[in-house]
Amino acid sequence: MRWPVFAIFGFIFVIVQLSLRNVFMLHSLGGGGISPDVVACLAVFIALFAHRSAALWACWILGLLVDLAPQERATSFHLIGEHALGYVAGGIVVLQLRTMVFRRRSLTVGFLTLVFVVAASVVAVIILSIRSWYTPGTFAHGGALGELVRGLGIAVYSGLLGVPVGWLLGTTISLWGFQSGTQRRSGGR
Amino acid sequence: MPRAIVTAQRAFPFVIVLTLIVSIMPAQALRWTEFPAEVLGIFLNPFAEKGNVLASWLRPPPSSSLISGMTRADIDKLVIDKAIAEQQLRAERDTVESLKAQLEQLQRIPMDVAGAGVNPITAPIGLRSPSSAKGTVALGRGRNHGVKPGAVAVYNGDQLLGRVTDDVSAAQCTLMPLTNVGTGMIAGVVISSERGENSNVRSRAIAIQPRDDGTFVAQADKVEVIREGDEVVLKDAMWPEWAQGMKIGVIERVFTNDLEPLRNTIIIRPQLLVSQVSFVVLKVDQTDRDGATNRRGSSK
Repeated sequence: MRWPVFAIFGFIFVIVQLSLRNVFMLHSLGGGGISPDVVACLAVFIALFAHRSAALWACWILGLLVDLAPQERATSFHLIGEHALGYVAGGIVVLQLRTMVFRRRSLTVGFLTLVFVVAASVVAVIILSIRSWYTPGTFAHGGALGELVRGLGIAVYSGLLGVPVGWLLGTTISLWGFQSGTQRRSGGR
Repeated sequence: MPRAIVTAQRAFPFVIVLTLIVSIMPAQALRWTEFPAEVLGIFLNPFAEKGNVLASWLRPPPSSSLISGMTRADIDKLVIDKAIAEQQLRAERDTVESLKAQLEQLQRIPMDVAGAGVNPITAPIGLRSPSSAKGTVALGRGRNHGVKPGAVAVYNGDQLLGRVTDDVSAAQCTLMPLTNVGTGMIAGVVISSERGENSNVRSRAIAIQPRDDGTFVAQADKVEVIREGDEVVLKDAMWPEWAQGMKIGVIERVFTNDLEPLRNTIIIRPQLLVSQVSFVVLKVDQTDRDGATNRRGSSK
């Protein structure tokens, strides 16, 4: 994978996630509204085609960038790990599934984005649950179950958006320089 | 060629373990994360501001909270006109303060001097919280523009949006929306929607608490006549005097509190959210801003 291309696309997707999210936000739903995770779509696309090691590093970097964005909770620090580890977990799931799917289909990107965000949400809730033992007010949406339900909603919405985003990213696949990760290999890495 | 001892593949598990350790550190050990976040913000904020402007164009704020056809220049002119009006108000307040001082000497009752020298500045919104509309946002104004922790953000002159947190750098600051649970309890009053010029209906004080879903909740005795559609404005001594009376929201629902049948639960919905606008107006103390300008030479 060409890392300069990843840097450019990662930068663009993080900007879209942090500024244009209001265009896609559904205010009428609970928890103050939900919006899709656009960065997760990019992470899924990379996990589908890149070498295993490169995919996991890319997921970690994207999650770290999201963690360093303005926080939802009123805290004087940034909780590093909630998305960084969540995205890595999602990436591992996608790496396991990518040998069983048609990678170049945009529907595949949409479905795997849903799976990715669910996995990331589970990891995030686990981290927040551990922190809630010694830090009050960790959960911003009514406890672990509330966060999970909200994560599921974001996953579904992200999965829907992942279809057109996957198609768009698919048109740029020649820029990325993906290597043997695209080759079919039974029990592939 | 000798193989490298440390490769990206071998380093990854260590990075994950390190990230896991950092993720469960207590808050006091995580204050260093503000620095990389600020550095990232320096690179992302200029583009995020443009993104927010685009988002406002694609999905404008509710029409009830925005006069259609207004350009940025119109808004800036209105801000200037308002500043002139506030200056005239301050002149009258000086007379009042003089009388208060005489009264204080006579009665020896300390009184606070409030509201003098407040200057509005527009602050573009940059980075937003990636996961929630109620999360904190980064503003493109900081200490160099006279912004201090606790500065109040408004929109359309009278719509309260939130307050600046303690995270204020030279060129940026962090805004906590009013709907964020971190804002805490806010004191307000309910203004009846049927109140006319000569109405004798008094305003009713309530304590407002932000909820998880972007609305506010309050409790009131049933003897207080509070109806859906009534407006709630700020009346809190912890906020600046000039912010008193600014709009918080509209009462959406009133129903009996099952645990306290003699009290009503009131749900208040804000008319505007931080997530719906691309800039806010910060009220800056004039003396602080002049001091910052003199130190730097140019504030913008």
